[in-house]
Parts: sequence; C-alpha cells; structure tokens
Amino acid sequence: MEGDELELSQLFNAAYQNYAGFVPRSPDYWRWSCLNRPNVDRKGILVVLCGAKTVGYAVVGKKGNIWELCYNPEYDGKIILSTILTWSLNYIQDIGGEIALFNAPTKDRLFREVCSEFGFVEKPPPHIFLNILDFPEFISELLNLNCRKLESIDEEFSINVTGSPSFYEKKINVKIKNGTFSVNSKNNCDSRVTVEGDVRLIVSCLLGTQGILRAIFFQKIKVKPFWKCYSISKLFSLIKINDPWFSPGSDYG
Amino acid sequence: MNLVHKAFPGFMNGNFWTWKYLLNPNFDPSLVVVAEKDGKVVGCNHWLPRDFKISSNLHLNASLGGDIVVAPEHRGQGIGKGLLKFLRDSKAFEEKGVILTYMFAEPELSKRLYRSAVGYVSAPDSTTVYIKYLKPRLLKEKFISINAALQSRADLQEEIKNLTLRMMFRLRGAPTFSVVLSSNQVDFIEGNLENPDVIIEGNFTLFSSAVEGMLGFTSLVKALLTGKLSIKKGKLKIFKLVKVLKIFRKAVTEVTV
Repeated sequence: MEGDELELSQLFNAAYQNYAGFVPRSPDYWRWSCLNRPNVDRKGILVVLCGAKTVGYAVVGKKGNIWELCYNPEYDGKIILSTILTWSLNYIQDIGGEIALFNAPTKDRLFREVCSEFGFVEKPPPHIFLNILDFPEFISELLNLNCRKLESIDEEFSINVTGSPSFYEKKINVKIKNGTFSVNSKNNCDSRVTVEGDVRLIVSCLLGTQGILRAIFFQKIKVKPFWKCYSISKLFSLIKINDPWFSPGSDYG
Repeated sequence: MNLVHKAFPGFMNGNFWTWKYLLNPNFDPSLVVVAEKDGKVVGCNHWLPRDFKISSNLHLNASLGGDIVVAPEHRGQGIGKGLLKFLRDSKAFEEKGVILTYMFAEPELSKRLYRSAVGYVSAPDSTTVYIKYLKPRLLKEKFISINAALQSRADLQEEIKNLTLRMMFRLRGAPTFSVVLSSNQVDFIEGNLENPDVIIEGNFTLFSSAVEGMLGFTSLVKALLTGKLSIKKGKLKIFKLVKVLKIFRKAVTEVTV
C-alpha cells in the first residue's frame, strides 16, 4: 500500500477533474486523509486493477463510512463501481458494521444507477458554507481564468459591498480594457458602472447560487446606470463559479 | 483536548484529534484559537489551511473551519461568535494569504451561528450521500426511544389509546422490519411479520425524514399518494397509518429535544 499514494491521488484528481469543492489530492494529503485515518485499517482499502493499471479504489472505515472512492471513467465504470461496492459491503458486514454510506457527485448518473441496484438510498450531505475574505484576489483569479473572454468587455466597474464586517473591502474596482484587467479596492477610484448589494448576496452571485439578473430585477442589487445591467451580467459571467461542487467524505476530517 | 472530548464524546478522543490536527500536513498551530475565562479554557476553534478547488481548473488558498467548541455551561454568551470572528479581525488570515474560509455544517447550526456571526453563505454543492442500513439495530433503538416517549407522555398515551396497527416495512436502504402498535405500546420486530395490517414499501430516508419530522405532514401524505412511499397491503388503513406516523413524529420530537 505504501508507495501507491501517488497513483491513487492522481486517479482521484483525474476522476473528479470536472468538479470543484474539494482539496486536490497530493500524496501527502491522501496519506493523511485516507491511509493514516484512525478508523481506517489497511485491510479496508481496496484497489481495483485492470492489468497493472489502477482503475478504482475505495477507503472504508471500521464503522461503514466509505471515506473515499472513485473509478477511472476511461474504463467500464459500472464494473469498477460494482466491484467496489460488492467488496465494501462484504467488508463492512465482516467487521460487524451496521451501515454503509459515502459521498458521490449528484450529477454522476453511474453512481445513481449502480447504487440503486445495490439498494442504497440518497440523502442530502452536510452543507458547505463559505466566506470570501479577499474579494480583489478572488475576482482577479477568476478573471485570469477567463482572460480569453475579456476582449468582449470594455468597462470600469465598481462593486460596492454593504453589510460586511469592518475589515472587508467596501469597494472593489474592476477595470477591463483591451483584453486586460485590473482589480483594486481603492476608495477614490471612479467608475462608469456601479453595482451595490449586500455582501451575502454578492457572494452568492459569485458562487453561482443566485442569479445576478434576478437579483437586479428584484432590486436586491442596484446598478447605476440601470441600462448597464447587461455589462454587469457579462462581468459576473466571467467571475461566477460554474462547475459543480463535490465534497468527498474524507475532506470532512 | 479535554474540552473537545467532552463536547464530542466518543468521536473526538485524543487519538482522533491528534490525527486531525497535529498529523495534518497543513496544520498551523497559530490558527487554533482558544477562549479562556478565569484561567480556564472554555472554548476553542480550529482552522486548517487548505488548497481548495473552487473551479475545475482553479484552486485557491483557503482555510477550513472545524470543531468549534464551547463548554456547555458557557454557551449562549457569544463565545462561539467571538471565536469565529477572532482570527479574521486579527488579520491572521490576511497575513497568510487566505482568500476564503469554508466549513461543513448542518443547516440549523449555520442559521444559528455562522450566518449571523460572520455572514457565511451556502456554497454550490452537488454532493449526494448514498446510505444503506445493513442491520436493524439503529432502527430498533429509534423505536425503543419512541416507545419510551409514548409511555411517559400523557398526551401521546391519550392519542394511542385503543389504537392498534401491525406494520411491515420493506424499504430500500434498510433491512425489512416491522412495528406493532398495540396495548398502548410500540414493539420493533426484525424481519417479516405474520399477517401485517399494512405493508409499506419505498425509500428509507424518505420514511425516516417523515418520522423524524424533517418531512412535513403534507409531504408525507403526498409521498404516500404519489407512490414514493407505497402501501402494498392495507390501503384502506392509510388514514390510520398516517395518524400513527404523526404520533411517532411527536414522540421523536420529544426525544430529540
């Protein structure tokens, strides 16, 4: 088992590459979160091979928590997942466990199909709650990610955040011109378009859990001048998180 | 650790805390906050620095909040909120380049503490928990609790007076079990039941939510009418069944409180 951490962590990152909401695995992190977890025995770790290649694995705790599992989608996922669940359920019963549970991405239909065949039912997970501490940095990183789309915008925005704790930036200035951008929190910056809203609502729009146009329409977010709503919508489309989030149980700690 | 162990008995023993924090490759002792009163530790909060993926191809410097604890005798005094705010107010996160903080919590705790204290919002989460009960012991304990509540509460005794119903449950996600309500008490039986009055099939978590009060009464009736919970035998006893489940819900609420 020791020595497999690199391959297993790479498999995890590849299997969930289209998702966000978790810690990207490194061998050190995988070793801590799975291999050295107090309620995981070495015998509770299954590695599924196809020839010499690792195509799936599961880490099962002593009380039935399947802390982490994944399959390589380039192979027959149904066979891999069925193998993992059959083994896991047998293992849990052998060690006297009473319950089997694990986290999986909601959008993965294969998990739903195979779990249904195995008699699993679904329940909602604990929620993730989030707070942005550094707005300019957060927005800069997302704009960097979408730098190719900046050509379509030529504008200076000011995002005024209300209802935030004293140490928060109250004003975030975003300037986009000629395909480049700058973000700062200077109070003396003038901008052509201002957006103002409660901090929680602004964060929700950035996280994609609230629509910006809806928030503007219901006047929870104010835009000046109002006819610049479309520009605001374009800006938020660049700094909004779009990918589905998935939290594996092993990230809970 | 004593404080944490008292707050999370059976879960946070020394071994687990040591693994979760001291052995964590990202552990930073300067991100553990302690509240003291008269020289005694009365609360603590732990933060773990993490590389966190916020998009499929972007990860940021973040910090996970975990295991906030306040000694029971000191709760309701704002210590929890103070612990949550402390590191942010002190700029410790800013110095370490932390861009966002996050935590996992049940929605009720979030409403009471995190949102009101420091403005946390729900993150977009597309995670499902898949669960399957392999043995009925946990179910049995639940019904033992319900029975105890029925015996001790006069209002529930009045409601179940002369009420009898033999129910068998074949639910996905749990082994078959039966519940018999008779002589003003509830008995749990593992497996099948001879001559049940009703046989209920469907989704275990939906049934569990109905009993534990997380699913409203109207939603329960809707689930029965739309087939998400279906009555395979004894359809005419549906009203009696709903009444019994309502009583169980009241008993569970009492147990929970």
